[in-house]
Amino acid sequence: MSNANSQTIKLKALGTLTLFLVLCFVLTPIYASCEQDQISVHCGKTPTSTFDQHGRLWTSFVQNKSVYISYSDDKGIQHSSPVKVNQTPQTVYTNGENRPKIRLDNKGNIFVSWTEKTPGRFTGDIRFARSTDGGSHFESQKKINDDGLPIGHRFDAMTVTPSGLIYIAWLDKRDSAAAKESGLDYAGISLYYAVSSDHGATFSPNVKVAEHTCECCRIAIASKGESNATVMWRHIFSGGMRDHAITTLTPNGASSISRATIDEWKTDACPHHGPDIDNLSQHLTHLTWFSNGALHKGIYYGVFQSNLNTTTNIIEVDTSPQASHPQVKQFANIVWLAWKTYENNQSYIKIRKSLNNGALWSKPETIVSTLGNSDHPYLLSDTKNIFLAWQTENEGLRLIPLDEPSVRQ
Amino acid sequence: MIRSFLLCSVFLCQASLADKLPLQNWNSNSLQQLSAHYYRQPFLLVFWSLDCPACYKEFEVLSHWKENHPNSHLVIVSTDPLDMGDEVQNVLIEYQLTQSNVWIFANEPSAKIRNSIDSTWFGELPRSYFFDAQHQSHAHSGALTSAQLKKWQSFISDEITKHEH
Repeated sequence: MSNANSQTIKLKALGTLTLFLVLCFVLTPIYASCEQDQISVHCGKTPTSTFDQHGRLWTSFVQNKSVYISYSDDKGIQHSSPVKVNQTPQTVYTNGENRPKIRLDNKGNIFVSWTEKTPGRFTGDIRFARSTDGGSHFESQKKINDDGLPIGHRFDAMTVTPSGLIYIAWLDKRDSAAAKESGLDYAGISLYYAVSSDHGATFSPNVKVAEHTCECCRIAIASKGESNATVMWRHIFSGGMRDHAITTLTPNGASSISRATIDEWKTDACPHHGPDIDNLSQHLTHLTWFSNGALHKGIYYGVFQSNLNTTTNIIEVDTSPQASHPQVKQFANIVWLAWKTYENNQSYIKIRKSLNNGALWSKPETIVSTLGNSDHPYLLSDTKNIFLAWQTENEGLRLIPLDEPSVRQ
Repeated sequence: MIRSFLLCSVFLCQASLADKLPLQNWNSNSLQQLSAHYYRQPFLLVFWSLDCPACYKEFEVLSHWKENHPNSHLVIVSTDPLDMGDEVQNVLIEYQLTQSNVWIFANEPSAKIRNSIDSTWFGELPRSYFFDAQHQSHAHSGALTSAQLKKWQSFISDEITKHEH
């Protein structure tokens, strides 16, 4: 072999090695472990993500008594330096069911809502802050609950409509507190909301949606049409049945509530297990929920038909006791379900999909697993793909495209 | 001045008790250990969390029951994250449940721990297990009532009587 040939082979080998190392750097999430004081989407609590209309991934999370945001232009491989949302430290609720939310409007304004823990038991205030400069800094936070009472206002849920209205709904103790002050028994608490029509500069007065809601489950909210929102929550129906209710929020008030699920779960226990929704059309809403009722035990899916006031296409998604925290999302004519489960010493995320609006479903398929602790799973999409976002103690925050099987890990 | 002193004293007393409260880490092997510890003895195992309103309602009932039956075995396990240990201790002190056998979930997946206790438990709280002397258990979801505890106490007394004869 000549020296020239030998040199060419060495250079090719070096080139291949360099390309390999570059690919490793680009394709491997920048996460090894969380060092002390490292502020990161991988190390913070309850990271929650969304895409803007240009495909940039935005994530809110909580660390060191602050809410932070960070963005990624490469689908979660690398994240920008975090920016603090609240300027003064505060205790923020960060259990899986009660966590900060991040949403954007089509002008690029960034909105973050969260629940601040205030002194006392089950107490809190609903907080909101916005950035109008692409996330470089956030304006002073606002308190959304307007009753001035040091009581429970928790479990915020936020959505932004195509027309730019911001809806924030939450569980509120003011009616329960007033009843108890008068010596009356009161089951559960209430659901309230406020709406902003000026990109978060101001919010409407608080509006009551329903009394006698469950106290400790997340609320599901999704924009409906151009300017409304659908909201679903665990309600306390007659006889102490903790099944689900649903209604439409408008800028001018809430519609009357409908019963979305009939599971007959009579309990005074705290399920810590709220539903999820996504709107298919003006009258059809995909629902997924958990119940341990007399009629349904486990995770279920159904379609709520608001014009008929009924839920149809109800299917058992997973009835194993370890199945939890389901998500539902409509994307490109496919309905996706994702949930967490636990088998053989590992936590798994499973999915099912329907090509015909929830009438028929694929079998459960395992997407990803972990050996350690993990957060709830989330479904999100940009204009081209649908993703699963899942933070795990051992692997950090992962974004996994669901419609590209070869990319799954 | 006196009020400040009293408040300060209460705070110091609570801090001191919290330091001494033996909050143990409950992992996926703990039920086996507990079973060995209470060999041939009935016990009541209760799971709760800080963020569960119904659990505090249950604590009022449990506190009263424990006060009247100090020799009955009560095991209380918080499902909160380990870093909430201080708050967990403060609640147990407030409800005078410090004479119980008290635990908090260890840093293991909660589903793994739950599965090690009962594969049919979905995670709702409070969740209670009545273990008889043979350690056969009966589960209950939701806040325990005085009537349930009275019935349980009567059952325990019968078991002890049977054992003594």
